[in-house]
Amino acid sequence: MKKETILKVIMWITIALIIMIGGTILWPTDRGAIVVAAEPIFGPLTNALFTSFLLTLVIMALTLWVSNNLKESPGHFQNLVEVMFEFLEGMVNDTAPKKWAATFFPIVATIFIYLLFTNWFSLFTPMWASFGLICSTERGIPIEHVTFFKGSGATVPVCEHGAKAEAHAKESFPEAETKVMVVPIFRAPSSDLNLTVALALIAVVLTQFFGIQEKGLGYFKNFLRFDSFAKQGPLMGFIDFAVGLLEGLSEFTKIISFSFRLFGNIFAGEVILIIISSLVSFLLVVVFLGFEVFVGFIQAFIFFILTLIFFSMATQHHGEEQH
Amino acid sequence: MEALGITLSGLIAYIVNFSILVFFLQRFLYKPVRGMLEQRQTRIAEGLAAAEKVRHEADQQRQEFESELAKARATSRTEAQKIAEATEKMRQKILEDAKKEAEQIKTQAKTEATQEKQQLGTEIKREAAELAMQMTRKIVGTGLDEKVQRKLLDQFLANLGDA
Repeated sequence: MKKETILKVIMWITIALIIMIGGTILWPTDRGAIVVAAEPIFGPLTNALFTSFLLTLVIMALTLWVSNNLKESPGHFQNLVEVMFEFLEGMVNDTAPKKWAATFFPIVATIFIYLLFTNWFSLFTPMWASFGLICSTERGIPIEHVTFFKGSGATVPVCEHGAKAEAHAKESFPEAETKVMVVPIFRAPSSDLNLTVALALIAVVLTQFFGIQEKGLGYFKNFLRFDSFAKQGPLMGFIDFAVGLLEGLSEFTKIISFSFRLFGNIFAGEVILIIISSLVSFLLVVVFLGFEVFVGFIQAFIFFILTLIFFSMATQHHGEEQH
Repeated sequence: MEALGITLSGLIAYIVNFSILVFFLQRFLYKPVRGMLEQRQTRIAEGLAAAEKVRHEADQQRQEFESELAKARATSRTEAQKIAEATEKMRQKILEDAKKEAEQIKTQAKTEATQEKQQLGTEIKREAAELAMQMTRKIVGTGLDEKVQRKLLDQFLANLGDA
């Protein structure tokens, strides 16, 4: 690599870090509570869903920009896109049966790209989490710490999931000591269980769909195994039948493992970033930011590769009849 | 489920969001990029094939050139040889001619010399005989008959011839 390129990269990384860290310092994260569920911001629209739509638009815009600027001799960004594309396609072609590779590719590749964006969005959490709507609650930050872009302290709505707290607050606290909670407008979509469960459902349902398409009703033989009774006697037959049932059960547990693995990693990453950035000066935060970059990539890759493997396993003929 | 924030509307929203993204990316990213990569691959393959062809042609031409050159060299060599041979022959011939001529001149000179010598010899003999005759005549007088005279002369000439 040229020295100039390295300097450029370092410069951009520095700028990005300054923005992130500057945001953390200028708008300190006095979050009263860490909420597992995505908070609604406009009616039924939650902040995570809102961010997901935004990121989708960003991905689409980038896509259009890339596909309109495709050149025979690629520039830096096109090179990056091509490398990623060939990496994903190579992986799919190596794993999936030939017949199905072209069908699997758009789904699993989109999972990877989409999750990469949503996971890496969680890096901005320390900054974005302090922008938002506020509502009064009993355990929150003092209202004096809030800078208002719009409205004032007099018109703070009561937090929805704190109906009891509201009654309590009205009785005990005068207006000046109102405590509020910030409901951030942006939230990394992968820290919303709705997203992870939705993706897990897509992965598992499509797995069954592809399996049935490939093997017909014979696909269910994998779960309801009666063949062994005749072949290997009642004991082995019973064991094999139970194994088949467990296999069937594992299809459902996949949904849970898929969704909670991703959610847990990203949500925990956000919490760590919030806590660390409110505890120490920025140098240590940089370490955790780097760590979260790694985790975000790895989790996107794991979701991608597991989906690909399950799709491939469902459509491959293992020769069950032979053993 | 509610505490975790999982709602049906949320799930559906994300599924729809994801599906739209899949179709969008398939249409505007995967297809064009794959097409571009394939196009580049074929272009590169074509370029390589063309280069190979050109190289092959150049090789062929070089070989042709070399064989022609070798041929020309061989021709010129034989030509030169022929010329050298001809020259050699000519030289030999000239030499031989010269030798022959020299020989001829030599033999002619020899014969001429011998002839002259012989002529000279006979003349001297004749004159010597004449002188002897005259001297004898003076010493003996004129009484000697013709027959004795001849005999003496012959004897003298025979002696002279031996000398």
